Amino acid sequence: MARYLLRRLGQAAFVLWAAFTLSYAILFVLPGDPVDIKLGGLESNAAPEQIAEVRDRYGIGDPLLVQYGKALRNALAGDFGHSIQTGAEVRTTITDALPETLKLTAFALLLAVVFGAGIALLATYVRGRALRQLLLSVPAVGISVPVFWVGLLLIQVVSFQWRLLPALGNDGFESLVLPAVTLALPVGAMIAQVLAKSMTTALAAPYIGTARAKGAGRVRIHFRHALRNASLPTLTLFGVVAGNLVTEAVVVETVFSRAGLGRVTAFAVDRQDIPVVQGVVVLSALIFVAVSLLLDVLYPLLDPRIARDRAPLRRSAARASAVQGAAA
Amino acid sequence: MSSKDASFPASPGPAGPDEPLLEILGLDVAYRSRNGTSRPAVRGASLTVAPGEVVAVVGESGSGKSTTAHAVLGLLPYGGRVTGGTIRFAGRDLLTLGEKELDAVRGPGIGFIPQDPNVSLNPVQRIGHQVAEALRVHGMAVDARAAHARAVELLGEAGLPAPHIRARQYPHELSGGMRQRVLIAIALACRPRLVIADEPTSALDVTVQRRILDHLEALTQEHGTAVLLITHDLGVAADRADRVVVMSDGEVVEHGAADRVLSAPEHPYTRALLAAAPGLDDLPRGVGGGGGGGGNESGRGSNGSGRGSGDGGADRPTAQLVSVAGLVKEFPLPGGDQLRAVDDVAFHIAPGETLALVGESGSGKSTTARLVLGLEHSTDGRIDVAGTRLTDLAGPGRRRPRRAARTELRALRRRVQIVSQNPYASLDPRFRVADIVAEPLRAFGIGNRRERRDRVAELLDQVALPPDLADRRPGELSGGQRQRVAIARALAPGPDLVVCDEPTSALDVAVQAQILDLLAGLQRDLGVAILFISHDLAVVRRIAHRVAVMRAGRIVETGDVERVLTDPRHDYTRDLIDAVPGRRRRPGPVETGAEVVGVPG
Amino acid sequence: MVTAVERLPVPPQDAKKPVAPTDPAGPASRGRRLARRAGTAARFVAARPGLLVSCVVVALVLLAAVAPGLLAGGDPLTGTPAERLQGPSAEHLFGTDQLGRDLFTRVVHATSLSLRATALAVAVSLVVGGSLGLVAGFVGGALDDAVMRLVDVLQAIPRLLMSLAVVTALGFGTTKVAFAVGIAAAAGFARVMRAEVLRVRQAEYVEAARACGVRPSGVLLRHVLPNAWGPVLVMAALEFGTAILAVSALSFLGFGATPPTPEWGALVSDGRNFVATAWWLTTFPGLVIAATVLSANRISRALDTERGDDR
Repeated sequence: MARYLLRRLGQAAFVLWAAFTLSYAILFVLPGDPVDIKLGGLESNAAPEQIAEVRDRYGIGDPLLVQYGKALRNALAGDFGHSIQTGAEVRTTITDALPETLKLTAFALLLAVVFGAGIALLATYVRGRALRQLLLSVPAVGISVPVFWVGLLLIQVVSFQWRLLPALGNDGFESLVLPAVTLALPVGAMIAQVLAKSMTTALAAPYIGTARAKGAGRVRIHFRHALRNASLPTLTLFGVVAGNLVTEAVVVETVFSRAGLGRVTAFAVDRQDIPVVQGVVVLSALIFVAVSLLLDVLYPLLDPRIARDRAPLRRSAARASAVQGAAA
Repeated sequence: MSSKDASFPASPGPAGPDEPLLEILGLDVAYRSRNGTSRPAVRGASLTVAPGEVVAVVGESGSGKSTTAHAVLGLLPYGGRVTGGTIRFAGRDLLTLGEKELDAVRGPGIGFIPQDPNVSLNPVQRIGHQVAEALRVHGMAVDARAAHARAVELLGEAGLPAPHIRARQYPHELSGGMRQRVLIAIALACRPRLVIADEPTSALDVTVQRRILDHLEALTQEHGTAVLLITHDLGVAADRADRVVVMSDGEVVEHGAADRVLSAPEHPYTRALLAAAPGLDDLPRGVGGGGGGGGNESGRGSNGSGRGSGDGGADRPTAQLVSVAGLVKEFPLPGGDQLRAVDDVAFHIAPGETLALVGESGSGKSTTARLVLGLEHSTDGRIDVAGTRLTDLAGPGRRRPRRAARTELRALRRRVQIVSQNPYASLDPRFRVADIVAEPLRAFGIGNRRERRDRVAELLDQVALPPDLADRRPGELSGGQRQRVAIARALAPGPDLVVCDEPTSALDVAVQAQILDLLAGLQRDLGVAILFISHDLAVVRRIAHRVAVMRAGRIVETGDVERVLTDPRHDYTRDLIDAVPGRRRRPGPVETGAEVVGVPG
Repeated sequence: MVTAVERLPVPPQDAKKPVAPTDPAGPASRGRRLARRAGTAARFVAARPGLLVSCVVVALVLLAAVAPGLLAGGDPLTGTPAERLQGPSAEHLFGTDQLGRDLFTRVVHATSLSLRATALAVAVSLVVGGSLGLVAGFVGGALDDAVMRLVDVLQAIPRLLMSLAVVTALGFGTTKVAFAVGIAAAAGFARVMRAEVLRVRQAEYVEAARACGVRPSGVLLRHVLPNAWGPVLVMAALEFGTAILAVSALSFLGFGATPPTPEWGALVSDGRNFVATAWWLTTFPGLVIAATVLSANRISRALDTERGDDR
C-alpha cells in the first residue's frame, strides 16, 4: 500500500513538474515581450534605463536555462513571482481570488451532478421511445450552446425581464445562482452524456440478462446492477470536470462581472501578464492531479477488477480524451 | 407441487399424458431494424416440454433457437418483439403477464443459464451476493444472512470447491468453468420447474464442458427439473436430451425423440446437419457420409476418403518438410516470472502431410503455430522449414547478419502460409477479394498484373468461389466464403506448408464440413503440407494424418490419427476423447435402435 | 481543412470506406457504386428529420462563409446612424446595432472568419496530434513513452486554459486564437491515433499480411494507415463543433479579431452592453453559433454511428 501511494505521488509530481515546464516553455519562449506592454506598448516613451531596470527585476535578461532553474526553484517554494501588471505576488493574487471561484464552481458542480445524473438515469429508465429521445437530446443541446450566450440570455430574461435575480456582481447567494446555472450547463450535459452512454452499455450487458432472469425488478436492475458498473466511466470524468469548471469560470465570471480567479485570468491574458497565467496553469494541473489521486483511491472500492498497480493518470487522461469533445 | 415434480420420472421418453410444463404454439418473433423494417427471427415455432423432461433445441447460428428461449423468459433483446403465438408455462400464458407477474415466474418458475459465463455475472458484485439475490428477490430467505448461507450451499451443490470462499470472491477471480457453475447455482436457486440453458458450455473447453453438463444433468434429475437445452452441437443434444427439436431459419423443421431424430432424421436439413457434424464415431469421411455434405461440396466430400488408415503417417518419408526440436517459448509475466507457453516441443511434418496439433485453450498450440510461421521468436530450440533453420534467422538464436536473415525469412514466408481462425478478422475490410488473394503475389513480386489476375481467377476456382466475387469486399461475404478467400490467399504463392489455426471454429457446422473437405481436396491435388491447429478432436479426425496432443505447453502424445483416437496412450488424450459430445448415446441406437422408435427408414 | 467542411453534409458516403488504394475496377462499376452510395446517403438523411435540418443549416453556413454577398448584400462595417438599435424587422432581420449597422449582414460576414478559424484549429490538432500519435504508435518504445507522457500532461491542463496560455504567448488575433485552440486539442487526437494504430497493428489481417510476406512498410501503408485514420477523421468531425465554441469563446473574451471586423463571439460580446435594451444584439449571433454547433455535432454523430454500423 505504501509503495502504491508512493508511486502515485511520484506520478503526480511528474505531471506537475511537466505542466510547469510546459507552461514555462509556451509562455516564456514564444515571442511577445511583456515588458513593452507593461511600459505602455509601442507608444511607450520610457527611457532605456527604465526598461533595463524592469527587465532586470523580472530576470528577463538572463540566459533561458538560468531563468528556468530560478523559476522552478521558486515555484517549488510556491513562489511564482510577481504580477507584471500589478506587482502583487502571483500567489496572493490567486489565493485572494480563489474562494469566490470555488464557491461558484462547487455550486455549479452540485447542480451539474444532480441534473446531469438525473437526466441520464431518467432517460435510460423511461420506456417510451419518444420521451427517451427527448431526454437524451437535452444534453446534446447543452454541450452545443456557447456558455457566454446562455449567461447573457439568463441575464436578459431572469434579471431584466422577470427581475428575479441580480445580473452582476458578487453579492451573496442570490448573485451566485445565475452564474452557477450557466457554468453547470455544459458540465452537467457532459456528465449526462457519459453516464447515459455507460448506462445504456451496462443495461445491454449479458449480466443484466442474468439478473432479469432471476426475476429482479427494474428498479433493482437499474440501480443495483447497472448504475454501479456505469458510474466508473463517469467518475473518471471528474478529473477533467474539475479543471474545466475552474477554467470555464473565466468566461462565466466575465459575463456576470464577478470577481474571482476567472476574471484574474482573463485580465492577465489580456495584459500578457505571464507569471499570473503560469500560476493559474499550474494550479489547474494541481487540481487535476489531486482529483485523479482521489479517484484512484475510490476506483478499487467500486470495481474489484481494477488492480492497484495500473497507471492512474493515464487512465484518467485516456478517459479525458474520449469525453473532452464534450468539454470546452 | 414439488412432490409431484419429484415423483415425475426424469427418464427419457415422450411426454406423458399430463399437460406439458411448457407449451410454445405458433411463436412468431420479429426484430425491428434501425430503418424501421421488421425482420422475422422465429416463424410459427411450436414445441413442448413435459415436467422433468430434457428437450434440446438444435440449430445453427441465426436459426432462431436462442430467440425462442429468450422469448419464453420475456428477455428478447432491444427491438425484438413477439408478434404471434402463445407461450404457456404451467397453465399460464406468459405473453399476457405483466412485468411484475413475469418477474415472479423468472427464478421460481423458470431458471436461466446464459451463454457466456465470462460476461454473464455482474463484475462488481461478489459471487455469494449474486446467488443470494436470486433468493432474496423472491422472498425465499428470511434475511441477508440466511440468504448468504443458502447461497453457499447452492454453490457447493453446483460443484464449486470451497464455496464459502468463492462466495466472497468476485467473478474475475474465478475460471470460466467455475463461473458457469455459479450461473447454474443462480438458475437453480429457487428450485424452478424448468431450466432454460442457452448454449451453456459453448464458451468452455471440451473437458470442462463435459463435467459441467454432467453436473447439470445430475442436479436437474435429482430435483425433477425440466430442461430446455439450446445448442448448436448435435453431439450435446444426443448425449443429453430426451427429445430434440431442430430449428432452421426461424422454423421448427423436425422434432421427436432424440434417438429417432438422430438415427433416422426425416427432414433434409436435419440429415444435412447430421452428415456435416463431425463425430468421433463416424467412419472416415467418404466411406459413409459423402452424400450428405450438401451443396456443391458433396462431390468434393469424397476426397477425404483414403486418408486416415490408408496412406497415414506410419511410413514416414525420410525428408521432412518441417522439423521442430526442443522448442521453448516464454512470455514475461508482470511479476517478473516467465510463462512457459511452449515447453520442449518436438514434431515433424512430411511433405504433403497433415499434422494436427490438438489442445484446449492455453495449451500452447497457437503459439507453436506462430513460432513455425516466424511471427514469434522462440526462446530456445530449433525449427527447420524446408531446409532453412528458421531459429537462426530471428530472435535470440539469430546467427546471420540482419539483412541476409531478413531476405531468407522472406523467402521462407513464401513457402509457409497461414489460414487463421477468424475469417471475419483476417481479411482487410478495405480490400477487394481479388486484391486480398493477390497480396502475397504482389508482396513477392510474382508475375505481372495480368498474370496475377489470371492466377487469382484460377485460385478462386480452386476454392470453389464464383469469379464475380473478385470485385466484392469481405463485408459482403459469408463466413464460409471469407474462409475460402483466406485459403485462396494462402495458396497463392504455391506454398509447401499451410498453417491452419482453428480455421473452422468460427463457422457453422455445415460450412465447417465444407471447408474441411476443401482443405483435404486441395491437399490431395496440390500436395501441400498442413499444420492444423484445433481444439476439436472430431474435426481433426476428419482432416489429419497424424496428431499431436498438447497440454500446458507440452506434447503428451503423438501418433497416427486412427491410433491415437482409438487407442490413446496418455490419460489426457483419453479425457479429451471422452469429453467429445455425442459419444454417450450415439452407439446406443445402433445396437438397440429397434426398441427406441421402431425401425428407422 | 476545407475538405473537412465539405465532407460533412454527406455523412454516409464519407463513412463508408473510401475507394481502396488501388482500384483497377472499371469506371462504370465504380460510378454505379458511387451512385448507389449517394442514393443510400440521401435516403439515410431523409429518414432523419433532425439530420436533414442540420445539413441545411450547415449548407447555409457554408454558403455564408463562401459567398456572404449572396445572403446579405450590405456592408457589414458601415451603418446608418439614424437606424441605430432597431429591433428585428423585415428590413433588418436581426435588427441593428448601436451604430445602425445591420446585424444580419454582420453575422453573415462574420461567418467566413469564424469558420476559417475553426477549420484551422481542427486542422492544427489533426495534423499535430495525428502525426504525434502515428509516430508514437509506429515506432513504439521510448519514443512512444515520451510522446504519451507529453500527451498526459497536455490533458492535465484544461483545454480552454491551454488555449489562453498559448494566446498569452502569441498575442491576439483570429489566426493565433485558432492555432491556440488547435494546439490545446491536439493531445486527444494523438491519443486516439496512437490507439488506432496499435489496434490495427494487432488486427488479424495485418498479421495475415505479415505472414504472407508483405514487407513492414507495405503493411503500414496498405493496411495500418487506411484502417486507422477513420476514427481520427470522425473525431475531427466531432471536434468541429467544439472548436467553434472554443474559438467563439476566445473571441468573446476579446482575444480575436480587432474591431470593427465582425466575428461570431465578438458580436455577442458587443451586444453585452445593450442586454437590457436591445436583446437581439446578443440573442441572434449566439443563436447562429448554437445552431451551427448543434448541426455540426448532429452530423458528426451520424458519421460516427454510421461508421460503427459498417464494421
